[in-house]
Amino acid sequence: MSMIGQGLSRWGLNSPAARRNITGYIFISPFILGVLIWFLTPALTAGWLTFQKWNLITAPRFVGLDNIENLFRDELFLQSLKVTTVYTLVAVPLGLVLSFFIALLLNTRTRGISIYRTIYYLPSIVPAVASAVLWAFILNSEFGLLNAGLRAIGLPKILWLQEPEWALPALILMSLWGLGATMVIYLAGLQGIPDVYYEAAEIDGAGAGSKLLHVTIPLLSPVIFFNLVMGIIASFQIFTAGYLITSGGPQNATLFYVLYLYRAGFLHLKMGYAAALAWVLFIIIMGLTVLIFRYVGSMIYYEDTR
Amino acid sequence: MTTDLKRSPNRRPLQMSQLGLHLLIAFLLLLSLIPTVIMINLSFKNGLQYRWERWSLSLPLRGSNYLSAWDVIDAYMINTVLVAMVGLAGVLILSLIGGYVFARMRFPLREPLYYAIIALLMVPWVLSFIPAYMLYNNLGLLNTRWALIIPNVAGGPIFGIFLMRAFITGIPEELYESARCDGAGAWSLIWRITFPLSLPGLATLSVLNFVAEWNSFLWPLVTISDMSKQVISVGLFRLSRTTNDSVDFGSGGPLFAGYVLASIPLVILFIVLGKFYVEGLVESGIKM
Repeated sequence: MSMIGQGLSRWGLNSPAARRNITGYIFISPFILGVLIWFLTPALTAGWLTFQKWNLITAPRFVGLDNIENLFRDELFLQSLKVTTVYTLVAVPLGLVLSFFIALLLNTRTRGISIYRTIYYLPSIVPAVASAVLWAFILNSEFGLLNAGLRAIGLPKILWLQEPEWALPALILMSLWGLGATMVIYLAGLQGIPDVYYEAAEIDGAGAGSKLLHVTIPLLSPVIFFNLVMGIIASFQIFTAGYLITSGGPQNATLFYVLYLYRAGFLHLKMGYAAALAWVLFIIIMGLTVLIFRYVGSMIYYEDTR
Repeated sequence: MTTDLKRSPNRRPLQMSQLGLHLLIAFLLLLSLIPTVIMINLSFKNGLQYRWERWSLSLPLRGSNYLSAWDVIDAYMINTVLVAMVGLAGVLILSLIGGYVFARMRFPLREPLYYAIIALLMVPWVLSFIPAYMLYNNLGLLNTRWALIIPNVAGGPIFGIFLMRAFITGIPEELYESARCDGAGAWSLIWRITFPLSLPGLATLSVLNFVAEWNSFLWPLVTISDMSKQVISVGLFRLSRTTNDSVDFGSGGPLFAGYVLASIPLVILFIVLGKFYVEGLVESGIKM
């Protein structure tokens, strides 16, 4: 510390205020350096790669806007964008509502809540690879459990993973078993709402519905918003389910964006093209987040504005 | 808990709506348990049971599946725990310090810098994927454990700082005031005051980070080719794609036993830290 002090005085930075300023930067610098070297520099390099043609073997060659022009002529790119958008539009709102609902249910009971919490969390804890194989079994059209269930109630079997129109809904259905983390975040938010608000609402004669509408949802809106934003960001980057269960098929019905990017880069060795795909994804996510912050963010109720 | 009882003083025993509520909760619990139960059930089956009685319970249970599975995945499990723990230690330290810096220290451009860091949450990891692969390649880090540890330590604190800043903001300023009066510097404010009071927040971060590391799949798949250094996700993936003659993995029982074994560390983690995990979430009052 004294060495830092000497260094600071040499630069004329030994006044208490300046010293305090510098300390903040010094403390945060290991993190900043790490992010710069291992994350931001590669990300920016991807920007440079966007204008190159590169197969990992021969030297990168400048091709201008070719990669970007090719994107919009590439049907698989448009397909992967469509698949990912549809998945996000359905799975994220559905998951948000369902996990909110479950959190509300669990919040009404206090006894044994930690056991319930753990049970609901369990499916999210099972390693993604394991749960993918498991669901491939459950959804299997011949010996799968889901079709066995359908048969038991007299419904025809569905070719969940072979029919293009059923494959994506099947993966969305499966995603509902991974809601534990979101649910626990809601539950934490619910426990953070002071009882006085409910007591006050009850004195004013509010019923369960109006307490939900006028107390719970407004006070929980920052948490809902957090789950929405993180949910969308994660959903646009979904990979494992499409890769392991359906390999993007049938007929590219589950060709998620990142899966296509992975194939472009590591299967077809089109690194420049993959980098262009990555940048387009970044722009989409950033654009969506900005839109959400602008149009939804203003409806969020923050108790104490810092 | 007492306040909760007060909230509904007129609660009658087993009202119809209450009963309905309980049934609904039980139903949803059952529904959410189905995949886990199936996994455990499959893990005890021998080849014939696996073939003919796949969805029903069948006796005798074949516990030796777990031994066969452990023989194959033990190295992956140990690797993953090792890599995840080392990475997690780095993430926790950097997030605690970063959270403190942005919650408690004053310096020019603090807010813009903080929002710049939070904006990184929007950057999809695939953006850095290919150049990062080349970077690790050029530095000779492919096929080493560093390739698994460094990305976590570098990227993990982005969310970590967000969480810990929110958490540390909630620590009463008076505690810091009195410590400052005793002449404590920033370093000891972090380790003597912030650290012990931030344990729930750090627990939350630990669970989220550990689960994410445990499930990390694509990056280890491309960067680690030496299976003796490989992590559990890729190990399980390889396992389900190969029929191993010696332990008849083709029959499935041992495969699912492997899945169950691979889930156990996370279950233990969540049971041990579960209470703090939720507490940390409550107290940080997650908001963007």
